Amino acid sequence: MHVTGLSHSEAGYPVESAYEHSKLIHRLFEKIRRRTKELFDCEVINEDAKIKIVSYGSVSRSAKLITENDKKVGLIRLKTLHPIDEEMIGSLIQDSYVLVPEMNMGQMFYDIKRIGLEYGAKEVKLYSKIGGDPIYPHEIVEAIRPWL
Amino acid sequence: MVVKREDFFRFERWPHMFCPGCGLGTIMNALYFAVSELDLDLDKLVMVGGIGCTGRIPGYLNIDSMHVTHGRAIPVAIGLKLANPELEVIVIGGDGDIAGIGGNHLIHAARRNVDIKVIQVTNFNYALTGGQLAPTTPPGAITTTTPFGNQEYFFDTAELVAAAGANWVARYSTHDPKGLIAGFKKMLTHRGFVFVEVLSQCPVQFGRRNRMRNPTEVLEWLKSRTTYDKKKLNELKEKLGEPVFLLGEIINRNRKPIP
Repeated sequence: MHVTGLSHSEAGYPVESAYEHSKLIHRLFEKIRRRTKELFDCEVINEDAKIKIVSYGSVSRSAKLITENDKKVGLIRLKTLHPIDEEMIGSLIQDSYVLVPEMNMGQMFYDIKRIGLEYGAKEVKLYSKIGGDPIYPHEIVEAIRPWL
Repeated sequence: MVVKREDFFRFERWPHMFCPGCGLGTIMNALYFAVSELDLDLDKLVMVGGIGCTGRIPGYLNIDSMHVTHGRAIPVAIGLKLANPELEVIVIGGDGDIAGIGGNHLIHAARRNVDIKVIQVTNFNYALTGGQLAPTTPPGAITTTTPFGNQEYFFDTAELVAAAGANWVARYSTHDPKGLIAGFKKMLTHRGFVFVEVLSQCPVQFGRRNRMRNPTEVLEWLKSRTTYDKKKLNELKEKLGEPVFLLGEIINRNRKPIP
C-alpha cells in the first residue's frame, strides 16, 4: 500500500494530470457535502427568542451565561464549523436579530450573514474583539442592547 | 538473491520521474541488492519519504510506503515504529528534506535514539523545485538562488547526527555502488537510530550549472573529493579545498534504542 499527500489517481499513486486532480478534489469535496446533515452539530438554547447569538468555542460560554438569565436571548452554539448545515441555521435565524461575537475580525460572521440574507434574518451584526482577552458577557449585552 | 526484482519494484509505475543520469537509480538498486542479500521479509519493511525527488522512491518500491509533507518524514516514521515496533522503518529523503526543512526532527530523533533508519541522499541542491541553494551546497557552487556562487558554509550532516547521539552513522557515494550495497547491508543490521548519507549526482540541476553537464563528470568530481581513509582526508583537503568527504563508518555506538 502507498499513502501519498499528492493528488493521486484511483490506484493511489501520484499523477500529474489536471483531469485526475479535478476528479480527486471534486470527490473529496462531495464526500463532505453529501454528509453535511450527519457531520453538522450545534446546541440551541431558547429557540423562540427573537435575538440570537451565533458563536463557538470560549465565546459561547460567555453567551450561555446571558441566555441562562434572559429568555429573550437565544444561542446557537456551533460544534462544527465546516460543513455548515445552512438550512438548519437559516430556519433558526429567520426573522431574528443575530449577533456573531468573535475573537477575530469576523471569520464565521460572513458565512452567517450570507445565510441570514438568504433566509431573511432582520439584521446580522459582528462583535469582534482583538488582543486575546476573552469576550465577557457584559460586552455581548452591550452589543445586543439596541435590540432589547 | 532471494527477493526477486519483480517483487521489490512496482514496475507497473515505470517509467519513473527521475531525470536521465540521476543517482537515485543506483541507490534504489543498491537498496534492492542489500534487501535481497539479507533476505528481508518485505511485509515487515516500511518506507517513508518526504517531498523531493528522493521522497518519491517509496512509491516505486513494492512495499508499504508513505509519502508525507516536506521535512516531516522522520516524525511519521517514529509514529509508525511506536505503533508497530516489529516493523523495519526506513526513511529516505533528500538533503533539503532531511537536513534543511526537517533538520530539527533529525537531530532530536538522533538524540532520542529512535529505532529507525534514515537515508539522506545528498545531491547538493533542491533539485525538484529547480535547483535552489540547499544546506549542503558547497561554497562557491552556482545554483538558481546563488548565481554568483554560494557564499555560505555547508552542513556536514553525518557529523551533526553523530554528535546528536545516533547509534550508527556512515557516508557513502554513488560512484562506488559496491560500497553502497555493503553500507546498506550494515545499515539494515544495526539497531537504534541509524543514519546513512549518500552523496549522489544531480547532473540536471547541480552539475549543469557547475560545469559538470555529464553525469560521469559529477561522479568523477565525487570520486576525486571522497576517501575511505581518514588519514588521507586532510591531504585531500589541502590539495583540493572544500568540500571533501570521508566515506565509510563515522560512528558506531551501542546505546539502548527506543522503543
